[in-house]
Amino acid sequence: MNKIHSSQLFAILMLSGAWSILCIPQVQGSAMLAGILAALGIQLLMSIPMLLLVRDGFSLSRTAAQKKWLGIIYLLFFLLWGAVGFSQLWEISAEIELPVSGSMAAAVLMVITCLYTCSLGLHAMARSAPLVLGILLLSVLVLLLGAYSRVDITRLTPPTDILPHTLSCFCLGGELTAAFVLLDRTAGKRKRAVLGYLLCKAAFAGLVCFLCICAAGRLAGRSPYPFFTLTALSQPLQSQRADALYLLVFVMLFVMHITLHTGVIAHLLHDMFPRLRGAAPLSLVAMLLLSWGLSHILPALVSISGVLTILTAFAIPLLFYLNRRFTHETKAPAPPAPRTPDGMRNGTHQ
Amino acid sequence: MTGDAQLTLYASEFSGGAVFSSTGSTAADAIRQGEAAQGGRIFIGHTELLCLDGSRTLADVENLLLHHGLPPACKLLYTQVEDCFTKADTGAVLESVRMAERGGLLAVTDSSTVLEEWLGSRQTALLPALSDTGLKMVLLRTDGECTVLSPEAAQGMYWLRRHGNTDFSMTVRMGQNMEDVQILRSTLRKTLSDGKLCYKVGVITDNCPETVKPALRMLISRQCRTAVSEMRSARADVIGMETLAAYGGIAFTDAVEIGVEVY
Repeated sequence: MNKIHSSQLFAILMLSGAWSILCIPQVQGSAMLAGILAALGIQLLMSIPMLLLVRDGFSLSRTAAQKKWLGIIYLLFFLLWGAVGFSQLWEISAEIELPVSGSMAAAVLMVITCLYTCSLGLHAMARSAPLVLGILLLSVLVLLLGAYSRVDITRLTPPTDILPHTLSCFCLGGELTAAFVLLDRTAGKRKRAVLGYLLCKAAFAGLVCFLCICAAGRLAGRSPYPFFTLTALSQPLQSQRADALYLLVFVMLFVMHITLHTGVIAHLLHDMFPRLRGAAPLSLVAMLLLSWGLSHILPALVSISGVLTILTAFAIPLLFYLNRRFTHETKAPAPPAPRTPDGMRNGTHQ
Repeated sequence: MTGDAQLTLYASEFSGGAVFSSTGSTAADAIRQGEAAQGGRIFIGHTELLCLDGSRTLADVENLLLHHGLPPACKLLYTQVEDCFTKADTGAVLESVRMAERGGLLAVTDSSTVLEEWLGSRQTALLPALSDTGLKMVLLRTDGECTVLSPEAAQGMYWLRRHGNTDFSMTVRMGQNMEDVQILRSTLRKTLSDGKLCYKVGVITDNCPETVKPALRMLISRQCRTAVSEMRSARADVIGMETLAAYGGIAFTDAVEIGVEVY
């Protein structure tokens, strides 16, 4: 696989992370805002072993090719994470107004789009990610223009009981694991890409939560997906509604989110089973089946994803890093013998 | 919209034409029935004025806003709904409401602002109302009771609620004389100080004479106090007082400090 650039990696991770922000189920008070920022702070710390490991030349896909059990853990994680994405899509489609006849039709259309994009591969997605990121930035600007006049700072009360929100927001951050898979195939400033993604995701999440609390107010608190309530209220132009822009962003983020996961699965499988063909479409179908089978336990799925995120993005990289460090120290060559005043070392002439 | 048990929706297009109506158990149901009767989709995404005749109909506005694309800037008006189409030109009424808001005579009452108050614990809303003598402001409660605010209280509500940049003229009595003062912008800050709710109104004027500023300060302060007093008498909260009081651990009925600064 040819390398992608670090700026493309940043864009890919940011778009996948933005989808998670759109899917935040409830924003009730500033505790959610504090929880998101705390969760991203934890992820920042969790990313350190991963970055150190990759700096030392570690490649997860090559290691998974030798240790199949490792690859299977990551494959299961990405399948589960993709299934969560499909379940979230299904739930959100039932809540928002889509310009198609029914949420099933919308879901089918998006799945077909994902099937097409995942068949193109990760590089095609990497090339399009900066463009989609630009569209996302434009929609954030429109959102700000429409919402800033409605902001009432007094709605922002001090947060209480941050821990449940921290945990729930943490469980929505599977992009770090994807970064771990892709880092060895990324050229350029990789550390900056990952850290930049975490900081920008924190900024975006903070902005969305802030606007939901201070601009949307009680309406956001009553909505199952407050981001879409915010977009309904944020209409900067009287003559033209902005719903189409937000809808476009919603669809594109979902497609990028799923394509990322099918892409990394295909990348892992390519090294683990070189003769396997059609890995990306097969993984997409597997995600759909998993989502359909486990949709009734979506909250539990999200929690399991959170645990697996800790395992795949932190625990395993940390273990490998410590193992490498320890192995490197035990195999280090013996220090040279001290020289005698006449230049001889232990009876040998130099 | 009108009705208690069944809700009737009356609608008219921008270009004029006949008024059509449909009935349903909710606003969404009425829209669905109307689409079937009209043979086409009813798009309310550009609705500019929504007339309501009671608390029952106001409760449905949330559904229209969140799920049917009712614009957040759509103006709400409290009136007998038939009057809107039979006794008044809706376009002229809408422009009256807009001009009154720009002129500082009415507080901003678009659908999102009204809903924000309605969803509070007191479930009250401040709405403009059409009367024979012009536009007035009313406080509507969930039990259907409606209280008309005095002109001074209505003006006070303007200072105590969200509004954008303003540019209008106010008349201040200075003894036997009347002075006109150009108001360029006003700000509002809600704080808690020494266990009291404080509403600080800041007013930026265009070269207001120093001799007129104290009188202007007193006028605005009196308008705000009248607004708070009449609002409390009606057991309503349309200025976010209860949220602030709960945050500070004080009672809704505790004293409120009104501060006015004129620049």
